[in-house]
Amino acid sequence: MDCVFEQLAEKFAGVFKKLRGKGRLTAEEVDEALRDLRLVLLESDVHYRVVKDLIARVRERAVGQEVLESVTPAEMVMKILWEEIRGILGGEAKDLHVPPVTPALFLLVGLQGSGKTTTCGKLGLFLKERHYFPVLTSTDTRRPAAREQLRILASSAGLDFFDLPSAQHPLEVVQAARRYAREKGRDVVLVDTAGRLHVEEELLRELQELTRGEEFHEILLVLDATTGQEAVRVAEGFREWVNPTGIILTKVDTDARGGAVLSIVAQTGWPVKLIGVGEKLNQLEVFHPERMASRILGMGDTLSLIEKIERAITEEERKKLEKQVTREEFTLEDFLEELRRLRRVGSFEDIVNMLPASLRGALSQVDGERNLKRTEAIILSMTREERRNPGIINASRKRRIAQGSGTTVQEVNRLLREFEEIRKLWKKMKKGQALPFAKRKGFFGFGF
Amino acid sequence: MEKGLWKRWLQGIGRITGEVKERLKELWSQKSVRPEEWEELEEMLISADIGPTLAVEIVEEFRRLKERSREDTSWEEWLYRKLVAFFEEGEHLLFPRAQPETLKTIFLVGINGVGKTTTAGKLAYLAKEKGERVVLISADTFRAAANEQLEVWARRAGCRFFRGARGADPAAVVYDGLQSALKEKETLAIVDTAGRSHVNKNLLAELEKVSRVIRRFLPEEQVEHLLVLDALAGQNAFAQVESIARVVPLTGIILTKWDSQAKGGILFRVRKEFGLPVKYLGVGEGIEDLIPFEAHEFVRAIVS
Repeated sequence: MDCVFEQLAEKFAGVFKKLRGKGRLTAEEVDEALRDLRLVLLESDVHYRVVKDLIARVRERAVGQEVLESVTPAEMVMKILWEEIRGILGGEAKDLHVPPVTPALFLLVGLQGSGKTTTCGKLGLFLKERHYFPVLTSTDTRRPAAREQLRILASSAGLDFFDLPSAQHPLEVVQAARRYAREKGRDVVLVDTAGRLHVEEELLRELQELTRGEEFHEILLVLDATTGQEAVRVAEGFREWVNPTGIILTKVDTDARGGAVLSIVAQTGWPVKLIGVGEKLNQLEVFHPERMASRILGMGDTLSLIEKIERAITEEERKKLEKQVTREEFTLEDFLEELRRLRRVGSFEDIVNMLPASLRGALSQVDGERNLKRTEAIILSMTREERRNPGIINASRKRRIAQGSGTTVQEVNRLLREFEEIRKLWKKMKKGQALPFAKRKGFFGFGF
Repeated sequence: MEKGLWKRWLQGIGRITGEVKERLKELWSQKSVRPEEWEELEEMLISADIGPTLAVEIVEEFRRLKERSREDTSWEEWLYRKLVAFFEEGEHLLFPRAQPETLKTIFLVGINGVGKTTTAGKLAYLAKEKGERVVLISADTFRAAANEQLEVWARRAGCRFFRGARGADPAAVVYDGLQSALKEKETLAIVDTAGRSHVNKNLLAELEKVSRVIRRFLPEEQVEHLLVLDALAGQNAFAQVESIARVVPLTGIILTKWDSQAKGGILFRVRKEFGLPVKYLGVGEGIEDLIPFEAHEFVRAIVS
C-alpha cells in the first residue's frame, strides 16, 4: 500500500494510538498531536491559513477543558478538532430551500471543468423528485456543444430545456427563460453558465451584469472537491463579482479529502447545499457536515456507511448481531455472513470507499465483486471446524482449501490474514474501545 | 516561443517564485531565524500545492545550508540545482523514438473536467501545424455531447474526426478509429476518453482495455499515454496519477489551466514521485493555448 493518503491515515492512526490510554495530557502532548494533525489537514488541501486558525482554536479549547470520564484526553483533543471543522461546515445537514416565488431563479457558476453542466442536470432531477417543475437553460456559448450537452441531460432526465439560439447576451437568455417558465408554469429556472477562471475579469464582469439584470434566488458556486490551495482565491474571485449564496461540491466520489471546501466555507461562510457523488444524474446528495469533517480528517465517510448498512439490516438480523457481539469469538462464518450482507448494501466499491483509509487497506484484497466471490468460495471450501477455529488451518489444509475453491494458497493466506485484522478490530469493539467520533451502533468491524 | 504565450507561461511561475524567493533572500541574510519564520516559509511553499512533505524537505535543506554556509555559498545555486533536478532536458518531446511516417497515437486520460477534450483539440491543431496528418477519435461515449464538442475542435483544427455512438464500447470505437486512420494513411491519431473518477474500478478497467487495443495495434514507441491534470488540483492529483498509472502505462503529463494562476506545485511532486515527464501546459481556451514544457527555461525563469 503506497497510496499517500493511506500512509497518512495510518500515520494519523499511529498518533492516535500513541496518545490514547495516557491518563492526562500535557501541553506538550497536545502540541505534538496538533503538529501531526496540521500535516493531515494540509495533505487534505485545507488552506494553510485556515489550518493555522483551526490549530490555534483547538489548542485554546483543549487546554483547561474538562475531560469526560469515558474518553481519554487525547480523544478529547481530536473530538474538539472534529467539532470545530463540523461547526465551520455548518453543523447539521440542511436541505436545499426553494423560495415560494414563481419562477425561482438559480444560477450555477464556477471554473471550467468543475461540473456545472452535469450538476445542472442533476439539480433538475433533484428538484423534480421533490415535486418541482424546473426548466433548464444555458448561457454557455463558448464551450463547444455545451448547450447540446445540457439539452441531452435534460431530455434523459425528463426535464424541460429552454434555449434561445438567437440571443446576443446571456441576460437575454435568462429573461426569455423566465418568461417561458411563467407561461408554462415551471417553478424553478436553472441557469448553467460558461466556466471561467477567477482571474478573468472580463468574464466575471459578464456574470456580474447577469446577476444585476435579473434577481437570482440562489447563486451556486460549483466547486471541484479535488481543488487545492488555490480554492480560497477562487472564492475571493467570484465573491468580488457575483457573491454566491452557496456551494455545490462535485466529484466527491473521488478519494479527494475535500479540504478546499473547508477553506472556502471558513473564509466566506457560504453554506454547502449539495454534493455530487457520481456520474449518474441521480447522484446528487444532501451535504452532511459531520461526514465531511471525518473525511477531511481521513477517517472515511463512516457515518454514511453506517446509515447505509442500517438500511440493509433487517430487525431480525439486528437481534442476531447483538447476540453475536456479546459472544466470545468472531468466526469465519460470521465473516462470510458479513460479506454477504455487505453485498446487499450496495456495490462493494461504494462501501470500501466510505471506510476510513486504514481499514480500506485491510480490505483492499477483497475489493470488487469478483474477489468477493472468491473470498466466499474459499470460506465455503473450509470445514465447519476450520471456519470456527482458523488456527488449525495448516499447510496441507490450505492446499486443500485452495484446490476446493479454485484459488491459490496465497489467496487463502491473504484471506486468513485479513480475517485476523478484522477479528482484532472486532475484539476492540467488544472492549468498547471504539474510535470516538462515529456513533456506536453495535455493528462490529465496520461500524466504528 | 511566441511572446504572448511566454508571458502567460511566466505568470504562473512568477506566482510560485516571487514571494518565496523574496522570503528566502530575507531569511538568508538574517543572523538568526525564529521557528515561526521557518514555519511561514513552509506555509508559503505549501500554498503553492507542492505538498507538506516536499515543503518540509525544502525548508530543512535550506536551513542546513544556511547553518553550514560560508562566504562562497550561494543559495540561488542550491535552488537552481534543487529545481533542475526535477526535470530533464527535452522531456516534453513526444514520440522520441517513433517512426515518422507511420501511424502514432496519443491517448488522453484523466478525471472529469480536467480539460481532456479541449487539450485533444489543441494538440490536433499543433500537430497539424507541424505537418502531421491527424485524426481526432472520440472514445467518450458516455458524456452527453462529448462527441459534438470534439467534432467542433476537429473542424477548428482542420482534421478528420472519428466518433462512436453514445453508449458504444470505447475499445471498439478506438479499434475502428485506428483502422480508419491506417486506411487514410494518417500519421497521428489523438484519442479522447471519457473523464472518470480514478477510484472507480470498472471505469479504470475500461481504460485498460482501450489501452490494450491501442498497444495491440501499434508498437510501444508509437504510442503516448498522457495523463491530463488540472493545475488547480491539490494533493489529490497525486492519487490520480497513482491509480491511473496502475492501469495504463503513462508516458507523460499535460497540466491544464496553468493560466488560472494556481501555482501548480503538484507538478514538482508528481514529477518527483512518479518520474513522469511533463509534456505540455494548457494556458487558455484558444486553439493555440498549449505550450511545450521546456524544463530548462522553466527553471531558469524560476531562479533568475
